[in-house]
Amino acid sequence: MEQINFNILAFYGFAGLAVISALMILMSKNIIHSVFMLVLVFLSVAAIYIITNAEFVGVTQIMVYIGGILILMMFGVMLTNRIDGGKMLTEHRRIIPAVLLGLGLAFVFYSTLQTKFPLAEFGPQSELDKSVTETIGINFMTHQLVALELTAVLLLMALIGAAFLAGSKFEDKK
Amino acid sequence: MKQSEFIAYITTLIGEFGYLLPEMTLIAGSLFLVVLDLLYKGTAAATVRTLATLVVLAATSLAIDAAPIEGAYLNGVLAQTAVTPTLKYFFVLMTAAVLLYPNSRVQRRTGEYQYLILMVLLGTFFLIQAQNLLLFYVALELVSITSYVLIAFSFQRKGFEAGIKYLLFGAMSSGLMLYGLSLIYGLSGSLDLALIPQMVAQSSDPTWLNLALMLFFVGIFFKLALVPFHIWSPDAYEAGPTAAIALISVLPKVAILVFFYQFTQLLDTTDVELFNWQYALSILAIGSMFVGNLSALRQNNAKRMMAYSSIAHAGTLLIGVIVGTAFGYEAMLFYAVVYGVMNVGVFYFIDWMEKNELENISDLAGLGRQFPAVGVCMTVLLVSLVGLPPTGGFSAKLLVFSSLWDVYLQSSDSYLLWLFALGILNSAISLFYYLKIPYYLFLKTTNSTQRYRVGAVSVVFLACTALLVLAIFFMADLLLEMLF
Amino acid sequence: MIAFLIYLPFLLVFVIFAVYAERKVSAFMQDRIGPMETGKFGILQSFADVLKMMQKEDIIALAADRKLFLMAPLVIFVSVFTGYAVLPLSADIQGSAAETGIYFLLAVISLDVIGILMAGWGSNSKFSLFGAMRSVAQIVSYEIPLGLAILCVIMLMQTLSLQEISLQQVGGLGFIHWNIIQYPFLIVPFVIYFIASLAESNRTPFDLPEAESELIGGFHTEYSGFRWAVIMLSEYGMMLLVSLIAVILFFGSWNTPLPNLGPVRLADWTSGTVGQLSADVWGTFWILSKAMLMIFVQMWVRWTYPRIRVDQMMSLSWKYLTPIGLFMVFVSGFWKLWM
Repeated sequence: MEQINFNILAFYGFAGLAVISALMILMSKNIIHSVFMLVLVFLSVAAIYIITNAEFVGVTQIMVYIGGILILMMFGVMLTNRIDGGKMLTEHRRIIPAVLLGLGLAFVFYSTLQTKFPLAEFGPQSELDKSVTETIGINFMTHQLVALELTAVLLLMALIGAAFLAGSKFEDKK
Repeated sequence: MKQSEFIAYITTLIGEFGYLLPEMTLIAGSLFLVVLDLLYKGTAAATVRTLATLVVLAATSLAIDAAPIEGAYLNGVLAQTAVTPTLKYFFVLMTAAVLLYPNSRVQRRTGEYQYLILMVLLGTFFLIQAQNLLLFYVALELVSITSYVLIAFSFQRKGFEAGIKYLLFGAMSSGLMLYGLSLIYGLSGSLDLALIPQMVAQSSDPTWLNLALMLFFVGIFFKLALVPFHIWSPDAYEAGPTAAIALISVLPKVAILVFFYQFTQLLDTTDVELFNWQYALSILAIGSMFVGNLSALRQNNAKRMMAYSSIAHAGTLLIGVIVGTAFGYEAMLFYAVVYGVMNVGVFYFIDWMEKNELENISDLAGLGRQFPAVGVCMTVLLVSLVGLPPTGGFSAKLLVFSSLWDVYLQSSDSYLLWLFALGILNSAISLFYYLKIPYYLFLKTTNSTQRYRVGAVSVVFLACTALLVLAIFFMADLLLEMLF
Repeated sequence: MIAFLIYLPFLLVFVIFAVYAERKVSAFMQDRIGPMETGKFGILQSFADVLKMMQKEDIIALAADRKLFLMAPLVIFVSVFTGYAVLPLSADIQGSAAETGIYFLLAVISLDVIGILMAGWGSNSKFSLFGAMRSVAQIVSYEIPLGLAILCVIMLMQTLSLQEISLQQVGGLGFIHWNIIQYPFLIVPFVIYFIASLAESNRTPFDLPEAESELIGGFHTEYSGFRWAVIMLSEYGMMLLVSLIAVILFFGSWNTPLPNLGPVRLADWTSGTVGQLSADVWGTFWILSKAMLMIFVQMWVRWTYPRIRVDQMMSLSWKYLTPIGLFMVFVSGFWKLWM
């Protein structure tokens, strides 16, 4: 009983942290602070994954989002920001439609949350006696093999495309 | 799963890998192109690369021929239906046609261009065969991310801006769709399309499934550029390289519609009381047709006009999904093929305009008399886009609307009648802006003394598309037979 | 928990002696004698340094981004020290028996970069920003060959857990059971790993981020006193961490190097009995002493090679280490399948 309580407590703690940091991203005028708040959001989401026994997903979340994407974002912001000289600030425009849309979406989600989520029967655990990581690996190499290979192709394409766009000097005709 | 079952599973997986031959040919060929770009940098490099790409496409179509058997493959992740090979041929032909565009010199300077074009093709190959939500998502991202890069390939400030705009909207919609897909996974416990309906039936409460479907559909609507998820498309179309746009405006849309049709077919098989998605789709289809056609009326820029026109056509194509019968599906694919041919022709002409630095439709004044052959071909293509006889566009619209009429007679839902009536009204609206081009070409005169050149290749290309459109009208049954 | 209680004090003591060792090693390599004044052979030099550092004023530049500036050293230290959570010390002592072990470790180490960026940006100084940029570019680039080298070992061991990797290297023949002897081609991944780990911990010849002659102190130019000490602490912590990983992955973890030779049962004598205190003491002794040896090699390299240029640093990672690493992943796969 004690154990369960602790898990739920931790869950709400991290979920709250994620929501608050996400709001801070929105409110903060300083774009750098927003990016660092995003770190917190990702970290708390990773923590939630780990609490819910999805250890591998949680670590991947840290690896991919914080170790990869966010650092790239910071790099981008820092390179553009200080070069211009001026401070880079975010601003809020069209607040009313945004708020209306947000409230609408919140209403949709809220009304859905009134009913319990009917989680599917995921069937008995695999009899192969494998750990979670091994199961993920086996699934990658069997059932989702095509998707995995296609992802490889996708990443290669993104690499070539990004390298090409970044390397090309665009010509302004006018 | 037991050890023995597992081994059998892997054995079938390895045994059926040959099924992916066309896709593997395409991947190997595209890598070959990238390497070729590094190795050969002669004066005729662009031509050599285009030829090499055509060779890759030819090899791919040979490979398509090698795997004609229908059924599920690779443990049910992919499936081949009767139309799959034909659609693949159609996609390959479209890609080949797009490579022949006159103004793509800028893009053809680099090998990456052809590589990216082939990646779009590869993505659509997987989209039409996917039977698994994860594979569908990866294939969709392959197509989308390639499109983002291709839009920015014009190397102008505008192109980058449009590319970023497209990317931001696209990323947002992908996120929503992914959320929907993950909810579907939680509800059904499976990512395989075949297993989803029976799993979903376990619970009687449709609230969550409705939400999941809604989010999933939003992502799909975005990729189809349906109203109100269309805002990105005119900007992207205007700024992108015309050849790439001609491809992006047809291939991904058709491929996604094929998958979407299969998915909605599944929804009918479940007993769960879902929200009336046919009704919602009808509203979107009507909205797309109206917004697309009415906005196109005001456009003077040819590419923007075609962007809005493609929004309207996506609305019409959606009717096939709403109808949901086998006849509706056939009609939709027929329409898609005809639309593809027309689009390739019209965009070819726009590309030619761009090459001569003509942007607006009003600049075309008097050109029809200068080049009657081109003028006539364009008129045929545009008449077909409106959907008037004697062109393929007419047969296509006839099929789509008659399938809709059939369903209306069976179910007598009034919204289907509205869809029918407003759809036909929209064809009438589209008449005004499509025929603006022939109007300027033939009836307006200009004082400008500037002379343009039309190469023999261009005339032949346009004539071929125009003839094809006419041929489809007179031999519509032949195309239907090829498709099914 | 025990591992934590051992590692944290050990790290603190280690840093003090490592700084002293660094000076002495460099001195002997350059034919000098190094610090001699404080205590016998200058052995108290580092303690004096620590005392000095504690007393210094904690200066925060006026134009600095206060929050980021203050947090940065902590973020750096926390992320480096979190890596220790999954390291084993002996057969019984291990931090977290997480199934994802080394994967988790690699992920949290990448958080280190966030702290460096915070420091570089928060200082609001050109030198700091340049240092941070270089540092991040370097760490991000070298994470790829580093990951590939580790992947080779993981493919052969078929587990991500560091303790399981250690257990697979147990045996009566001592060093014969170590991965690097069992799979001789692992010498190439090890060299890649070693080079990349030097870059990860910003050590010479990859100390571009804090190149004194160009950038004063790099990302920690503006720091003083205790905060600077924390940054230094995490840097030495990183050195120790990468050395420990190298030992676990390639050099038999906490296993003894001595083989049983007939009646002379060296391996048994130097391993203790599993489950008893002797095994823990021997395990801890072996893993830490091997790590110390690795750190000595790091220092050796530092005082032997000159700093490389930025472009050389990039091309080394992307054009040489990464392709070789990919090739070695293939070799590992084939080895696993057919050997």
